[in-house]
Amino acid sequence: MKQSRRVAWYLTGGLVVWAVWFVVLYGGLSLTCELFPPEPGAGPRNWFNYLAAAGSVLLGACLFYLARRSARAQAQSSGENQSFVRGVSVLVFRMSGVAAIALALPVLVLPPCL
Amino acid sequence: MTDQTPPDLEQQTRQISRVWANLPGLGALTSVNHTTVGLRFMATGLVFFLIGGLLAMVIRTQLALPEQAMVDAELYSQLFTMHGTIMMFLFAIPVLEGLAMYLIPKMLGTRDLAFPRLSAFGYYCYLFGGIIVVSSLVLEIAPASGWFMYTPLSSIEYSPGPGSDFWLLGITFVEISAMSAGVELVVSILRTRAQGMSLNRMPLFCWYILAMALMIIFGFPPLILGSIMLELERAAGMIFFATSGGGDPLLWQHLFWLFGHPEVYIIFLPAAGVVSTLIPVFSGRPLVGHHWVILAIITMGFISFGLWVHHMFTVGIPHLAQAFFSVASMLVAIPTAIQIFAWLATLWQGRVRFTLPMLWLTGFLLVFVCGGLTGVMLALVPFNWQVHDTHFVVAHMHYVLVGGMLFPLVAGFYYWLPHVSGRMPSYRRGCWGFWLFFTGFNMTFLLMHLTGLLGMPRRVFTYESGLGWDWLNLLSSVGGFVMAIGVAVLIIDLVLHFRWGEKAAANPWGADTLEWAMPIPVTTYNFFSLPEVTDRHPLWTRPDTGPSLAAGDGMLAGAAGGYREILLSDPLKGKATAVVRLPTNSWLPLITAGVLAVVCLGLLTKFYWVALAAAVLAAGLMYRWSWENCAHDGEPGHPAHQSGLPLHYHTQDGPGLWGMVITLWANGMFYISLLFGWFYLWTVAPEWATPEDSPLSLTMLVTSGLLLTFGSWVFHNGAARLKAGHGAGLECRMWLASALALGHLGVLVWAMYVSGLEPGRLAHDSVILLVLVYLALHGGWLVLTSAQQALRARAGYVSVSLPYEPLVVQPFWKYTLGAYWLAIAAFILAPHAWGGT
Repeated sequence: MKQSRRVAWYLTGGLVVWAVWFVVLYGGLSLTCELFPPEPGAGPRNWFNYLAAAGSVLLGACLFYLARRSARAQAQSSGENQSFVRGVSVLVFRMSGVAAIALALPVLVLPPCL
Repeated sequence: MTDQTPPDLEQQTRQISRVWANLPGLGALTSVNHTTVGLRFMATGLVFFLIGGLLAMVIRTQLALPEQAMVDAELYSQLFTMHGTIMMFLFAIPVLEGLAMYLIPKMLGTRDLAFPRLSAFGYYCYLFGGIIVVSSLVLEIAPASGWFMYTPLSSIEYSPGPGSDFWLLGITFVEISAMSAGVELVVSILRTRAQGMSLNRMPLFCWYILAMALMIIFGFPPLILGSIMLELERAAGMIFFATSGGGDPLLWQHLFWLFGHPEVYIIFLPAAGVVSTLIPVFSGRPLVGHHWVILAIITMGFISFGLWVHHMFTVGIPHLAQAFFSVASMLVAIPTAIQIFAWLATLWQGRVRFTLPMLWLTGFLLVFVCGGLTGVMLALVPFNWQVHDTHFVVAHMHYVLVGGMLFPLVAGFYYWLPHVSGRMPSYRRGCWGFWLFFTGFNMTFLLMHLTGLLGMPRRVFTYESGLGWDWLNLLSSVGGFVMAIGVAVLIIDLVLHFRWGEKAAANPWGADTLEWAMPIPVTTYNFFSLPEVTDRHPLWTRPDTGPSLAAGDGMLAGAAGGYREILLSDPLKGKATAVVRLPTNSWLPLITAGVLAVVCLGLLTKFYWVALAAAVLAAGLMYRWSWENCAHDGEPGHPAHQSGLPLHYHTQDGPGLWGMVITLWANGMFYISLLFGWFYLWTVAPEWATPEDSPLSLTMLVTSGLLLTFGSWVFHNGAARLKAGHGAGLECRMWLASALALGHLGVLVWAMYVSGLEPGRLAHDSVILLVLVYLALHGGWLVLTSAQQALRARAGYVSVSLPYEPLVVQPFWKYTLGAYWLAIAAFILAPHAWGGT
C-alpha cells in the first residue's frame, strides 16, 4: 500500500498540486471579490494579482525542481518498472509546472473583480 | 509446464467451461461474467443510439425548411432534450463502459472483473433507468429543458409536469451503473493483472480506461448531488436553486458542468484508447512516444476538471476567473496534441495496412482535429460570447463527440468483431457504410458551423425565411439523412456478417495484446490457463501464447476446485499475490436493480410509501448480497490453494478493500460538492439568509459525534487485534461498535427531529438538513455492517485466519468519522465563527 501511494504521487502528484492551486486561485478570487475587492481603478496592479502571480511562479518553480529530482532518480533507478514510473513522473512534474505558470499569465493584464 | 494427455485436457476444458457457463433460458438473466455483461451493455447502447438517432432525424426534418410546423415548440424541446440525454447518458458512456468491461480482463490476461455481480447490477440499473427515461417520451411527458436541465427552466415553476422528474430520477439511476463500472474497472486494472504485467507493460488501452474510470469516480458525484438537490426542491419544496430563500440557479450550472466537462473526456479517453491500440497494430510497430502518451492521459484526466466554467462564460463571472478557465481550456489542447502527433508519427514510421478499421481511424483523425480546433476557438472568451448558444456550438460538440468517440468506436467495433462472431467484416460493405456516414456527417455539421456564425440560435423549433439560413439548414438535413443511411448500412453489414462473414483465423489482425490469445469466438472463461507477461507486446514477442495457454502452460490452469478463480496481483509490478474466488451466476443483481427501479417509480408517481418499502427491501437484498460474498471457504483452518498462493480472504489486502477505498473517493467527492454548494450559496447567493437562532443543539451534535468516535475506536481496536492475530472478543467488539453507532444515529436523528429546521423557507436549512440526512445514512450503514461483522464472527466467517472483512469495513468508519466532524466544523461552527448562526 505504501509503495502504491508513493507511485501514485510520482504519477499524479504534480497535477494534484496544480489542481489544488487552481481551486485556491478560483475560490480565492471569488472570496476576495466578495469580501475585500481591490480598487477597480488600479487595474491589474493590486495585492490579489501580485499574490496570485507570485504563488503561480513559485509553485511552477517547485514543480520544476521536483521534475529535476525525478530525473535524477530515474538515472539511478534499477528496474524497468521503476525507471518507467520515474520517467513519466518527470514529464508530469514538468507539465504541471508549465500549467501552474500559465495560470499566472491572466493576472498580468486583468483586474480581479470586473 | 504441465504434462497432460489430450483426454485430460479435454476433460478439464469441459469442466472450466461448465464452471464459467451462463445458465440456459431465463437463467441467462443471472449471468455475471464480463463478456456477457459487456456485450449486453453495448447491444443495449446500440438500441438507445438508434432511438436517439431517430429523434435527430425528426429534428433535422423540422429544421430542413423555414417556418415548418411538423412539430410544435413544446415537442421540439422534448426532442432535443431527449436526443442529447439519450446520446450522452444512455449511449456514449454505457457503450464505452461495456467495451471496457468486455476488453479489460482479456487484455489484462485474466478471466473476469474483480466484482462480477456489480457488473451485472450496473447493467440492470442502466437498462431500467434507460427504460424509465425513454418511457417519458412515449408517454409524451418527456423533459424539455435541454440535456443539461438548467434551473430555473427545469424547476417546478417553469416545468411543472413530471418531465424533469423523469430525467433527474432516471439519470441518477443510470449513474449508479456508471459508478459501479468505475469502481469495478479501477480495482480490476490495478489488482487483477497477469503475472509480470507491471505498470510499464500494461496495454495503453488499460491506461486510458483507468483514467476514464477514475474520472467517473470523481466526475459523476457532483451531478448526482445536483440531481438529488433539484428533485428535493421540486418534490419536497426544499430550496437550493430558487433565489427566494437564499438559493442560486447558478449552483446547478456549476454542479452540472463539474460533471459535464469531464464527461466529454470520459467519452473521449476510451475512444482514444481504441485509437492507440489499433494504430500500432495496423502500422506494424509500437506506438511512438509511449511515455508521452501516458503523460497525455494523466494530464487530460486532471486538466479536464479545470474547464467547467468555460460553459458558463456568459453568466457574469469576473473576467479574471474566465481567463483562468480559458487558459486551462487551452492547456488541455497540449495532451490532445501529444496524442495526435504520437498517432501520426506511428503511422509515418510504420507500414500501414489500410483495413476497414483504419478507414474509420482516418475519418476520426480528420473530424476530431477539426473539432479540437473549434474547441480552442471556443476557449477564447470574446469568440465564445459571440457564438454562445448558436448552432456553431452544436456543430463543434458533434465534431468532438462523434469525431472523438463514434468514429474510433466503429473502428474498434470492426476490429474486435471477429472476437465475438469468429468472422471477418466485409471491407466492401464497410466502405459503403463509412463513406455514407462520413459524407453525411460533414455535410450536416460542417455547414452547421456557418449557420451558427450567421447567428442561428440553437433550441429554436423553426425560423423565418430570408435570414440566410435556409439553404444551409436544408443541406444539413439532407446530410443528416445520408448519415442515417450510413448507419443503416452499418447495421445491415453487421447482420449479414454473422451469417456470411469469412471465418477469422486466430489473431486475424496480427495484434500484440492478450485479448487475441484466446479461442475465437471467445469463451466465457477467456483463458484456460493465465498468461505470464514479460514485455509490452506479448503476442508479437511470443505469437504461440494462445495455443500455449490453451494447453495449460500458464498459471491457474482449469477449474479443478469447481470455483471461478482469478489471480490477485501487486498493483505496481503485477506479481501474483493471491487467488480470488469470484461469485457465480446470481439472481441478486437483477432483483436488487428491479427493486431499486420500484423505488424510482414510487418517487416518480409520488407513492412515497411504496418507494420507502422498496428501499428497505433493496437494503435487505444488499445485506443478503454481502452475506454471500465468497469470502469464506466454510472450512476450518487455513487451507492453501493448489497454486501455492493464498486465497484472497486469507489476506489483508484483497480487492474488497480497494473497492471500498475507491467507493469512498466517490463518496468524498459527493461530500466535497456538498461543501462547495454550501460555501457557494453562503458567499454568492443574492438572498442568502441565516436563521436568527441556531436551529441545532450543539450539545446533542457533539454527544452524537463522541458516540461515533468511541464506536470507531472500538471497531478499529477489534480490526487491529485481528490483524495482529488476536481473535478473542471480536464478536463482542463488533456488537459494541454497532451499538455505539446506533446511539450516534439515535442522537443525530433526535437532534434533527427537535431542531425546527425550515427547509421550505431557507436554503440554509435545506443544506443543513441534507447534510444531516447524509450523515444519518452513513450512521445507519455503520450499525448494519458492524452488526453483520459480529454475526459473521459468530458464524466463523471472520476470524484470525479470515481477517478480510473487518478490514474492508474499517475505512468506512474512518470516513464517516472524518465527514461528521468536518460537517460540525463547516456547517455549524464556521457560520458561528463568521458571525452568523
